[in-house]
Amino acid sequence: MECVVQGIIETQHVEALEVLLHGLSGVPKERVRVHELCLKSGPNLGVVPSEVRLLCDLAQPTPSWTIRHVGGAMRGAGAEQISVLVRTIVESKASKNVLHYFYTLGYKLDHELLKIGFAFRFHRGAQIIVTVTSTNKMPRLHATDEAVPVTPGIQLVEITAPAAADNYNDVVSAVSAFCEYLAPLLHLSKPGHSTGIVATAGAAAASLMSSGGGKTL
Amino acid sequence: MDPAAATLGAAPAAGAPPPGAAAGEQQAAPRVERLSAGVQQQLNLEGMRARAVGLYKAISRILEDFDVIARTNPSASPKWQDVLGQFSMVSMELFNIVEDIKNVSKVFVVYPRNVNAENATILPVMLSSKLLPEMEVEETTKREQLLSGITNLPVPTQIEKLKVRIDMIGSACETAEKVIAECRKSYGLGTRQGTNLGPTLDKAQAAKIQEQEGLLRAAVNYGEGLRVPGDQRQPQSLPSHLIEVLPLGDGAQNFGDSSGSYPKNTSTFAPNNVNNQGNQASGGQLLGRPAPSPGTTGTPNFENVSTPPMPYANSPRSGTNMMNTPSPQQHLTPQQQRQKLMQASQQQQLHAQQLRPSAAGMLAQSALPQLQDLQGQTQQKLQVPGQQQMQYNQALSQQFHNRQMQPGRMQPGMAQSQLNQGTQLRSHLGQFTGAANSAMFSAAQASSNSQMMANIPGSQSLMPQMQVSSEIILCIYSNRIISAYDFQVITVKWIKIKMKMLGVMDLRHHIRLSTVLVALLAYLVENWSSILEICVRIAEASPLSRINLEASPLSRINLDTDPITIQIKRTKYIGIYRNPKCGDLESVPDEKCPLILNRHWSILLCAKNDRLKFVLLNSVLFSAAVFGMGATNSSMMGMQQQQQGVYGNMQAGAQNMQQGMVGLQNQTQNPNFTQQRQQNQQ
Repeated sequence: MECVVQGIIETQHVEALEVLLHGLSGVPKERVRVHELCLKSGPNLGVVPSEVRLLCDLAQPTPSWTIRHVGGAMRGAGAEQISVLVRTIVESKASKNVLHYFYTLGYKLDHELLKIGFAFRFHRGAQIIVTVTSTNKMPRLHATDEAVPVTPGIQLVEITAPAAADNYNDVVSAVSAFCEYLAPLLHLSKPGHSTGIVATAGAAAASLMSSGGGKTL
Repeated sequence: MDPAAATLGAAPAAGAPPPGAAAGEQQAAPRVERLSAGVQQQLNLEGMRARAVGLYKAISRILEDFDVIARTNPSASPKWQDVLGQFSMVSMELFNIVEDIKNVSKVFVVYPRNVNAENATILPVMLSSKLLPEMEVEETTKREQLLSGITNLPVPTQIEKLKVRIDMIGSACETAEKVIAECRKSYGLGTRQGTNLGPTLDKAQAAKIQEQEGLLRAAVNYGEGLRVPGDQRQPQSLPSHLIEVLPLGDGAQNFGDSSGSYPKNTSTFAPNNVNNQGNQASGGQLLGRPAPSPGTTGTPNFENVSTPPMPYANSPRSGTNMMNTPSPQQHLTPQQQRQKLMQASQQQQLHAQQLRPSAAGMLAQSALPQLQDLQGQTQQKLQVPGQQQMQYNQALSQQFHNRQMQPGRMQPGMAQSQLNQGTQLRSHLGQFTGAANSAMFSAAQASSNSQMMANIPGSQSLMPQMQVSSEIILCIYSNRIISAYDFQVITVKWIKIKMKMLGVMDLRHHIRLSTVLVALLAYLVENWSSILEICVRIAEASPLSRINLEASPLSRINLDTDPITIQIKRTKYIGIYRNPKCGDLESVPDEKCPLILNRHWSILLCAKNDRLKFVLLNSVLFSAAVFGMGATNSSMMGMQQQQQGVYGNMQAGAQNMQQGMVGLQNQTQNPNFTQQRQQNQQ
C-alpha cells in the first residue's frame, strides 16, 4: 500500500521547491528520468482489463525496469476524511525483458510517458518520497528523445509513502504533516482532485531563493 | 532570601519558589500546617513548583547557549531569532506563573530565609514595599499633574473628570489608529497583523492554470492525451533501453492480434544448425521447405541397408530407402506423399550430414532435433484436431540402419550409438521435469505441451495434409530411479527424445523402431548404470493397430558385450514382434527381427489414433508419441490411421501409463497386462 498526494507547481517555482525540499529532507536530490509504459491486458487475460505499468529508470547507467501495479484506493467514510489517498500498490524489480514478456502475455501498450525531474527520499515519521517531475509525452512511439512536456508551465509534485495495512494511519499523518511544510509553495491533494496553484507561491519562492534556504518551519 | 530566587533576578519571580519553600517549611515544622483549602484550590503548589523549576531550567539553558557561543566563537552571534523565540516563551511562562501566584499572594508573605553577609544589606530594600525615592518622587509629580485642577473638588467629581480624560484619550487613540491603518493601506504596507492578501490571480490566469492542471493530472494518472493513434505506432527507432528489449519486428506485435504463436523456435537442446533445420522441418512450414531431390540425400549412407523398403504403387519413389512409402492401404494423395517424401528426405539429409562426419556424435545430436521436431509436430498435431495425415520420420532409425541392422553388425554400432546418444542426451536429461504420469500425457496434449517441451517450434500452421513424416516422441519419464547401492530416489525427470521414423509397412520398420528404443534404453542404462531395473513397455493402443512389444526389465546391460535386441510381436494388423521371453502373449518371433535383447524388457507402446507411446515403467517411464502413422497402414508403431483424432490417444495413453505403472511396479511381466492394456486402450 502507499499513501499518495499530488500537487502542481509552476515550473518557475520548481527551483525554490527544490531548495525547500532539500532543507526539509536533508538528503541530496536524485535525478529522475523514468520512461513509463502503461500496458493494458488483452481480452485473453480476462474480461476486465488490467493495467500494469512498466517503469524504466533511465537515470542509471544501465536501465532498470520496475513493474508497478496500481490497485484500488481505500474507500469509505474513513477514506473521505483522510487527506491523502491510500491505495494498494505492487511493485517489483524486473529484468529487461519484462516488456517483451508482457507483450507475449497479451498486454498491449496503452500509453507511455516520460518523467524527468528529481526526487527526494527521506524519513520523517515515515519513509517519504517526493517527486517533482515534468511529464512528457512522445510524439512517436518510444521516441524518448523527442519528448515534449504535456504542460510546459506546470510540473507535477507527487508525494508517496509506502505503508502497510496496519500502520497506514501513522504514515498518513506523517505525510499530512509534511505536506503542511510545503503549503507556501503548493497545494497538495489526492490524485484526481484539482487544487490549483498557490497564489503566493511566487513570494514564497522568492524568499526561498533569496535567503538560500534559510526559510524554516 | 532563597539564593535560587535571587539568581532569578526577577522580583515577582521570587514569589514563586518561596511559597513552595514556605509551604515546605510549614510542613517540616513539627506542627504540620497545610495551606488552607481555598488557597489550595487556587494554587496548585506542586504544579507551580514544577513550572518554576522548568522555567529555571529554560532560562539557564539560554544562558548556557550564550556562554557556549561566547566561549567557542566570540565573534559569532547567536541566532537571535531562535533566542528571541525562546526568550519569549520563557517570559510568557514566567508571566503565567506570576499571574497564578498573584491570585494567592495575599496569603503569603515573603521572609528572608537565609541571611548572610551578602544579602544582609540589600534585604531590607527588597523586602520593603515603599517605593524607591526616585520612584516616589516621580509618582508625586505625576499625581500633581493629573489632579492639578481638581484636587479641591470632592472625590467623585475627581473621578468623573478623570474618566472624561481617559475617554478623550481613548478616542484620540482610536482615530489615530484608523488614520494609521488607512495610511498603511494606501501605501501598501499591509496591516499590522500581517494578513497579507498578496497577489491574487485574475480569473483568466486561474482558468488557464486549472485547465493545464487538469491536463497534467489526467495524463499522469489516466494517460489521457498520451495515446498515440494506431497508425503512428510503428517505432522508427528505439531508444537504447528498448533496443535490446524489443526486437524491432515485435514492435508492432503488441498492437496487432497475437496469434499466440511463439515466434522463436528455441531449443532446449544444444542448439545447432541441425536443430534449427529440424525445427523448421517440423515447424510445419513444409510447404516452404526446400525440397532437395531425394536422390541427393544420404543415399550412400544407406547402402548398407539390407533391403530398401518396398516402393508402393502410389508413392513416388524416393532415392533413399528410408523414405516413408505409404502402403496401398493408405489413401494419400500424391501431393501428400511427395511432401512426406520431401520431409523424409529432409530428415535424411540432416542425418546424412550428421552421420558422415562423426556418426556417433551426430547421432545424439540428431536425436535432439528430431525430438524437437517431434515436439513441434506433436504440438501441431495436437492443436489441429482431426489432422488427417501423419508424419512419420525415421531419421533416427536411419542411423541405426547405418549401423547395420543385422544382428552381427548392429550391435557394436548400436552400442556406440547408444553410448554417444547417451553422452549427448545426458546433458539434457535434466532439462525436463514432469510431475506425474498423467502430467506427462496431459502435457503431451496440445494445451500443455509447453510444459514438457521446453521449446516448441513456433509454427502451428502445419496443415495436416501436408505432413509428410511421422514422428515418434519418446518421453522418458522417470519418477523413481533406484540406485543399485541405495534407494536413491531421483526426482522426476522428463526426457523427451524424439524419434523420427519413416513409417513403413513392413517389419523393417518395426525393427527400426525397436532399434531406436533399444538404443534409448541402452542409453538410459548406460547413463544410469545404477538403475536397477528399467522396465520398458510399449503397448499400442489403437484399436486398429496394436503393438505389443514387451521385454523384460532391462538392467545392467553391458553395452560392449551384451547384444541388445528387441523382439517385437507382430499383431494381426501391424507387424509387431514380441519377445517370446515375455511370456504373456503368444508371440511369433519374427526371424527377421534383428534386435535381440539380452534381457527382458517390455516396452509399452501405446498407440492410438496414430500415436505411440513408449512407456518405461517402474524406473523410467518411457513414452513415445508417434504421430503421423497414417503413412503406413500398420507399422509397428501402429500408426497407420490417418483419420483418427489425435487427442484420444493421449488420454488413453495416460490411462495406460498409469495402469502400466501400476501393473509393472513389481517388475514382473504381467501376462495379462498387455491384454488389459489393449482393452483399456480400446
